[in-house]
Order: sequence, then structure tokens, then C-alpha cells
Amino acid sequence: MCPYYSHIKYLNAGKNLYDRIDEVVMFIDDYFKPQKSDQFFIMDPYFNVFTALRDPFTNNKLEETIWSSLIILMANEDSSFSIITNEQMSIGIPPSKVDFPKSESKTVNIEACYYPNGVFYNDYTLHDRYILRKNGDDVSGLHIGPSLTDIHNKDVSITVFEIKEAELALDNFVFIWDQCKLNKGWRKS
Amino acid sequence: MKSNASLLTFLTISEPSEEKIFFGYLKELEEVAPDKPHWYKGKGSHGNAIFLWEEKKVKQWTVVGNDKFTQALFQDLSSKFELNINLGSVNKKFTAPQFEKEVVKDNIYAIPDVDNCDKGDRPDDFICKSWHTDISFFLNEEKNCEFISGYKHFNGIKQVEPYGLFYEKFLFQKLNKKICFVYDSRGVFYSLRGVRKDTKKDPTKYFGFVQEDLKFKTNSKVIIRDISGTRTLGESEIDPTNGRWSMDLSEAINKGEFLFVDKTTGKFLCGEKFYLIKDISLNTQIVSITIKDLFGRDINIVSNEGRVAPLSESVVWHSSSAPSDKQSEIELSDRISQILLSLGKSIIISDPYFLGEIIVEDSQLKLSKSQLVFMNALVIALAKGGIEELNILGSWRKASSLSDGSQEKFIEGYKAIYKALKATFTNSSYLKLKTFNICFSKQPFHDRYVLNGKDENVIYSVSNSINGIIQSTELMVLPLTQIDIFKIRPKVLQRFEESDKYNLIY
Repeated sequence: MCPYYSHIKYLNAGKNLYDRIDEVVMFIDDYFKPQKSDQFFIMDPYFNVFTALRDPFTNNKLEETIWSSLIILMANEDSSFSIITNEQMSIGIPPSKVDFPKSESKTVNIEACYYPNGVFYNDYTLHDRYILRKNGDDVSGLHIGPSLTDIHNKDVSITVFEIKEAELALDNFVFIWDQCKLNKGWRKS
Repeated sequence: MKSNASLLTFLTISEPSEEKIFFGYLKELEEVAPDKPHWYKGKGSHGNAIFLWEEKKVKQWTVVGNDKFTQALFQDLSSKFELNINLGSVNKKFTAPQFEKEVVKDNIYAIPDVDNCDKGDRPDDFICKSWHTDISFFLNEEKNCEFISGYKHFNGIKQVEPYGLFYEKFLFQKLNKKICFVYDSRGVFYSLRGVRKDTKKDPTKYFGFVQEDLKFKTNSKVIIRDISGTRTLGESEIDPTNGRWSMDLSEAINKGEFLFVDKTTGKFLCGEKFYLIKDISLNTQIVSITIKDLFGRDINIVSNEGRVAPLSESVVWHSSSAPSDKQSEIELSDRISQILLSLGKSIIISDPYFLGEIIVEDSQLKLSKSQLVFMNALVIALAKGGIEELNILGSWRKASSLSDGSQEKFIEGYKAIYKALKATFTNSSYLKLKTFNICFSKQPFHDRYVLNGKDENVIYSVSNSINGIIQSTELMVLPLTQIDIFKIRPKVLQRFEESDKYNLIY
């Protein structure tokens, strides 16, 4: 169950490329089977949280980007999303909060942290893209080839983590998250 | 620790002797403040600020400090319209135009002397009659505002920091309304609902949730008072694990005051008045050429023209804009009627949640208030506009999360709608509906649209789900721009074409 969505094959079959994006989004949603109180951890160096998430939510264009569509789809009551990215963002002090659209009538917490490569912890750099889900003791995860910020002209491979690898990735995510939080934006000048 | 950090930023026109503020923004953050105020590098640190736009002498000054510090600066500025700030070894003089808080009239939700809870949603705007410096290159100049805000790029113009501080078009919209200062306080997001067992009686049981941090949920409680604020009718702790609360009141009410109270000091943290919506049954009737609608109005069908012109500008409804609840619902119903009538004889309503779950009990429709107002509007539009096709497109992937039953049961509810419509038009020939489908999209979707289902390029973006309009207190319907029509309409039509359709006419 590690699908590969070929751009060229889809295009040559005369299919609508929007559908391919929907297929990717639905695969991720189907794999995680989101429930109440899920915690999602998203690592993507190219995830611009302002343009890909906050602005679509603010402008009530929830399908504007792949990220906004996916997060709206996976969010349930009491869900939380923690996002680490290389894209510059922070309203002063990280992690920044992104308000979930009120039209969805759910309590969902979204936080994102901007992690400039090599600045916060030794020379560590972000590279991988993955999504992890934790609910109670259950941890699962998907590795996604390209950034979901834009896949319209890219092949997309998705790899399912074994449980142990998902747990390891989660440990790593939490460590980087804590480093990111420790380095407050206002402390740097 | 409790959040106490605020970010204060000034946009100025720099002159040799002073910085002339033309826009200020104070935002309370969900963070703990630094030990001492921190001026951003190149934005006030050591008294230096670089030009954002050198030709026009535009600079930005930004500081993060505790609430007390930034509020003191704001208070000083709003009383004297002048500030002298010591930035390291440099003393800087800032001047501002005279500004005053914009007064929102007829606010039926405000409790005297108590802060509004959801301030993030309604930040305080401050208006200035005129600026004391030339900023004509920002007024009615959207691109220039977007260059500064970072949403467009122009060589030689830098964007404000931190990045994304202003959302898209924020600065343009504010300056064009002569708003020269915005105070964005922390808010408390909450919901409140009454539980009605009987549609005629007001509820005594209330429940809801609070979206706040653990400390807030632990240290505060909620109370409900009568609408005059003289008697407390109930109170509840907030469950710290999920923010939920529920309470039984000492008497049944449909309006009152909802407040958060600090458990230690007894002080009101914030609060708002609320007005519940009663469920009532669909009661429109058509007699001859008039409709007696849900609100008891006699609406003449034939004296009005059917189809109205497509919307050229947005339609906005806000529950607090009318003097009473009933009038507010009438306004909403009339707006929806006009929107439906402007779509022609073939209509697709594309909403992930359809019209919400339609509950049928003892062969009777039990509609929410929002659904009732929509049905009232639909009946009027059907009668006046001779609508022939109505398709309701939704996503079961999303709608099922709010439904108690199966897809079959969900469809049965919608069949009951047609039955009610048919009964309403029993003695008339005004019901022209030939197609009435509920359509289940194969792809997930989230945005709401209403559109003409045939060849006309009429499509509007809708801000809320129909079943949640009244609860959310607002509705905005926007005609799409030509570019968006080309982008979005084919996508919605494709979803519709590929959907599983169930005929509701029987």
C-alpha cells in the first residue's frame, strides 16, 4: 500500500489533474481514518503556513490549496496539527497559531513553527516531508515524496511508515519542535 | 504561564525631527512576554529603522513587550497623539493624527462594562478624520499596500516584519476606511447551545465548549444570567480536558447573558448577551396568488417579476443588523430568496454538508431555525421564479460526521422536504419543480457555492453552510470574479456530473 501517482500517465490518459490531487488527499485521509482528538504532526520545509493555510481559511476559500483541503478534511473535534516548516512565518513569537475556520464549528488547534536551517540546532536542516498521527498510544505515519504545497506537475509517491519508524519519526519531530519553540523570534536580533 | 506578550507596530513617514505615524497595529499574542521590551532589528532596535520605501520615506517600528508596556504606549498615543520613546541612547518622537474608536451602533450583544469575548473576530478599529502627512500613495492604491504587506513584490520596496503580520488586503482595507489604528485583543472562542425537548418551550439545559488553554479552562467557570443581568440562573465548571461545559438553569430562558468568571477573584473575564432560536414547524401556505409565509406576511406572487438580475455585488447578512430577531430572520429569508431568484430556473447548491440533516419525527419535519428560514426563502423563490431544477450537492464524507444515521436515512429526510413543499403548493399551480435531487459527490470538497446548473455563468461563493447560518450570525454571498468563474465553475459542475444522484420527487 505505497501508491505512486504518476503525473504523465494521468495527463496522457486525458484525465483532469484536479482529480489526481483529490486522489492523493483521499488516500491520506483514508489511511489515517481521522477521529476525535487526533494529533497530527506535519513536517514539510516548503509548507508556507500563511499562504497555504491561514489565507484560505481567512478568505473562506477552503479548497484554495492542497494543505487547506487536507487539513479541513482530517480535522475532527479536538484535533490538533503541529507543523514544522522552513518557510518564513511567525507573528513575533513561534509557534504561530492559525485560526481554524469558524464555519466548520469544531475546536481544532493548529500551530506552526518556522525552523531556519542550521540556525537553531547545530547545522541540522529540514528535508523530509511526512505526516504523523497520534491518538492515545497509536502512532502512524506517511512519508510523502514532494511537498504537498504543489503537486500538480509532479509525481507523488507515498510510503507508509512501519509503527516503529513512525514512533521514531515522532520522537524526532517532537525534539525539533521543542528546539523551534525554544528559539523565540524576539530573542534574535 | 499566562499569555502576556503584545506586538506593537507603527508605519511612519520619517521626517528629520519626528516619525509621523499613519498606521498602528497592536496585537495581543498567545505567548509569554520577554523580560524587557524587544525592538526588532531595523525596526527600532538602537533607535534605527530602515526604510521600507525610501522614496516615500516609509518606515516600520516594531516592538514585542508585555501587555502593560504596549498598552501604556497605546494609551499615551491615543490621549496625546504624540510619543517620546527612548530607544537605547536615542530619543524618538512619534506623532499621530487624532483618532477615536469606531463605535459599532446597535450592538445587542454587548454587556455594559464587560469585555466582549471574541475580540479576535472583531478587533477594535480607530478612525482618524484625516492624516497629518501625505499618504495618498496608499489610499485607493491596493498594489502599494500589498507591496508593503508582502503579498506583491516590487524592487526597492521592503515588506513589513514579522512576515504575514497583516493578512492579504488588510492594510488597504483599513486605510480606505480611514482606520489608522487597530487593536487586536486576545479573545475567547466559545459556543453555547440550548437543549430543547419540546419545540414550544424554552430550554433549561445549556451546553457548549470553550477553545482556550488549560489554565483558562481550569481557573474560570461559566455562568448564565437573565437578559437584564440581575440574576444568575446557572453556572458550570469547564472540563479542562476538552473545554466542554453544561448546566441546568433555575428557569427556562431563550435569551440571557453568558459570562466567564475568574474562580478566584469572582471578576468577569468577558461575556456577551445571547439570543436563542426557537424551532418551529414549516407553516407557509399558498392561497390563490399570495403566500402567507413563515413570518405571517402575505406575499403577492404575480405582482412581482420572477427572475431577478444576477448579483453584481456581495450580499451580506448579519444577525445584529436588524432591530429584532424576527426582523433579522426576515432579512435573511428575503436575501436568500433574491439570491435563488437570480440563479435562474436550474439551481445547484454545492455545500459539503448539504442542507444539514433533515430530522423527521412522527412524520413531521423538525427543522432547525436556519433550515426553516431557508425553506421559507425557497418556497417564495419556487413560487415567484418557477424554478424547475434543484440539485443539492454535498459530500457524505463530511456530512456523515454530523449525522446520526445512515445515508439512506439521510436521503429519507430530504424526501420529506419535497413532501412538505408539495403540501405547501397543493392548491396552486406555482410549483414547477421537475427535478429535485440530492447528489453525493465522489470527491471530498469544502467550499460552498450556489450556481446556475445550465449554461449561464452565474455562480456565487457562500460563506456558511445553510444549516449553520443563524448560529454563525452571518452570511456573505459573493459573485465570483470572471477568473474564478473559469476556475471554479467547471470543477463544481464536474463534481455534480460525477455525483451519485437520488431523485427526491415521488
